[in-house]
Amino acid sequence: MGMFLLRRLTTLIPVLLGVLTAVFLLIHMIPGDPVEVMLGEMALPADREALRVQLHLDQPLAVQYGHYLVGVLTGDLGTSMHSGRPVLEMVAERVGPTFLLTLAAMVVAISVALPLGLISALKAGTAVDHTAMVGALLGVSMPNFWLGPLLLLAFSVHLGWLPLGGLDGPLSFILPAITLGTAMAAILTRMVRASLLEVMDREFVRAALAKGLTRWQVMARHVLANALIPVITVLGLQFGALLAGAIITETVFSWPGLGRLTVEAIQTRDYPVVQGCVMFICLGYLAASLLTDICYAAADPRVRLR
Amino acid sequence: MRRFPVLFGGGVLGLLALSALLAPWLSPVDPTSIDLPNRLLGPGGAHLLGQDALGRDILSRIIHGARVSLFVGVVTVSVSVTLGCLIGAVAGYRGGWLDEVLMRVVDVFLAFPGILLAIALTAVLGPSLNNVILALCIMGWVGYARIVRGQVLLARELTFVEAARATGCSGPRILLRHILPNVMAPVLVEATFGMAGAIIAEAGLSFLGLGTQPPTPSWGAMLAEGADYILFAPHLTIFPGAAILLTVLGINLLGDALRDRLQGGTGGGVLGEAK
Repeated sequence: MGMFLLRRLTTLIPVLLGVLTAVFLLIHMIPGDPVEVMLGEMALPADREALRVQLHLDQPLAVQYGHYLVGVLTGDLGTSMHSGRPVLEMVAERVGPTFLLTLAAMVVAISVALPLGLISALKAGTAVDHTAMVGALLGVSMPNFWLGPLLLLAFSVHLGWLPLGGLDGPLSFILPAITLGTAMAAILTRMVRASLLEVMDREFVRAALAKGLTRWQVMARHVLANALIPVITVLGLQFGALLAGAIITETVFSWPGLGRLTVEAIQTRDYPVVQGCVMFICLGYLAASLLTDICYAAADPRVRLR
Repeated sequence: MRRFPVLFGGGVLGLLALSALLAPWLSPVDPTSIDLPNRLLGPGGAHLLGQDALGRDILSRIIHGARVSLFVGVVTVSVSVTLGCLIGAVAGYRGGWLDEVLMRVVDVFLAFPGILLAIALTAVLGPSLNNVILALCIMGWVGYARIVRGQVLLARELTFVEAARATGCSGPRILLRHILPNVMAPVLVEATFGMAGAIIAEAGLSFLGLGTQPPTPSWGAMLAEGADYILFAPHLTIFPGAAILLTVLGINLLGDALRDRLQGGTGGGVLGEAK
């Protein structure tokens, strides 16, 4: 396991460097003069010069890159152009709500997908299976920026059961978590079903049945344990997708998370904050993917040997 | 019943293409024509799906919005497939350091989850439809490159490739004439889902104000405009969203059917009721 971890961490380094480089280059992709875009055409020359110096844009690209990397390593992600606060501080206070929302969405997704995928696989080819699969396809096809407002309309406006938006107690998690978790629930349901069907076809399942175990005993002891291993991978990858999907969901529900901060920073052209948010979401994604690989290797020893 | 997904998916795609091509003739009125006295008018009467906050006809705007969605879907998938196939094929066929370098680049792109890279790129490049397409293509080629590389790695060891090599075919010729046509099935399936993804991504970016700009009608932008009036004019939100859902559902159904046809489905096993 130690060697596996070391190998995995080694492959992570170039990817991490690539991500940091891409995030660094974002500001340089702004067409024209980035300082003029950020401050507007009416900005005073002195203000422009000050921002150019603050962002190290007056120095060669390689030097700027060096400053950026050192900044990232020492926790200095720059300063917000609008609030004047350190980007790291702004991002750090928004990470918690986004993480909790993502976690809540995962709980929603797993609690829907596992039973539905299981029933669907056991009843493969029947009307129950077809209904579940149509439901899953609907979930995949449903844009969360449509589902969110519809849920708000039904449960907050008409029924008055749940809050309209913002983060205010456990009830405020329900609608954003359902909105964010629906697509993942749909993808997971299909994955659980496919994985179960594949394992149910294996020889060891026939052997277990031939030994006299009941259908449910075989399911619980042999099939589920094997079928859920690939599902772990999908879960990990989907966690990253959820982090990115939170950008839209948080906008719909005025959720005080990283996604909303990203959109606010984009609207105010606060590019250091945009860079900070993008970097944090990517790091979260990479961390989730690393954790997934570790869980995968722990659950399936064959992975460690590859 | 078995043909329903294909019929539904094909029907939706046909309707989308028809709306996009014949939008000026199919729309009841000009989608940009403002009618302030009748703003936020509900569905019915002369305006079948109602009017928006500026009194524009929602049905006409949905029909014209199909143009944007289809355009983004087709262009993004075409460019991404071409780029992805080229890079994946070269990486898989040449192998060695070139493969290593290209796959590390792919890994970096894959480290950007979902729509994040597109949001970041359109944020810096400026909000416009062209920049949305550019951003979606930049993140879209990666999946195809991985698929094609994997397929080429398998195919290059097969007998028909050896035979082509033995007859003196050049590397590019073997790749283009012999290998690529034989590995395109999964790419075709992925492209179908890619088109659905591109349509949702464009709508999402337009919803955030980063995509299609007013007054051009776009389903995502219509949803964003409708969000302000959801309490007393929910039809502004319901109809454009339904258009996105139906379109994406149709394309996904078609993709599923295509996958079952080209790559085979999964069995039920001895525990499944179907057996």
